[in-house]
Amino acid sequence: MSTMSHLIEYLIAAQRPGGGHLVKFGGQSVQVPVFPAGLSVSATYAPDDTAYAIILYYQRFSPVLVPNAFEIATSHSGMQVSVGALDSTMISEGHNLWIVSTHPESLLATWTNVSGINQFFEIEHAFIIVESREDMHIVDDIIRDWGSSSRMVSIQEQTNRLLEQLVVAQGGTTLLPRPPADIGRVG
Amino acid sequence: MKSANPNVTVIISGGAGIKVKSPQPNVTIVRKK
Repeated sequence: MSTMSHLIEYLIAAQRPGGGHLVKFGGQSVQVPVFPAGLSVSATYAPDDTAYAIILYYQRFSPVLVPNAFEIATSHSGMQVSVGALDSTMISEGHNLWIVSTHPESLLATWTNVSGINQFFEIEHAFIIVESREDMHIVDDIIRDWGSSSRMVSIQEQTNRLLEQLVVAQGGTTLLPRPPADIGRVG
Repeated sequence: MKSANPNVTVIISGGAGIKVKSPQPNVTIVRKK
């Protein structure tokens, strides 16, 4: 949890190379005032016309929900990512995920009222909104490099230079590695 | 007698950049202003 929240803080604070925030935070709540007993409700989440990708990273539930009254399932491109009873731990602590959705109907949430009576239901989702494919590449780079120390990056750069010198000394040409993303931080 | 597939209203709020739909005909999604 702590590593993921640091990554999310970093992403939300990150700036594009040309300026401006790299991603946006998107919070959304879903309420079903009267959720009939025995019924399943499904909803799909996708980026709208202003976004390239949405990343679902956290779900939390209203504290007034009755423990074990609901089953919840989350699917991504047909694969079930999580499924289970909405127990008291999940109601009080929420649920961490990392689901990237770039296409309509790729992210599907299904909630089922398994209690014998109608219930109130409320869930909140936390998303990261990525506006363009280019921004998504930078997000991918940040995640790939996450956890690297400056010493590790320095050793990699030194190794690349030495390899390049070896290849050039033998008459070859080099394919230069992609430079690291130039990410600034807010403040 | 209870309907096998009753209509349900789902209220959503927030979520700029996110499109929400339900594949179920008996589920109505209402966006709270």
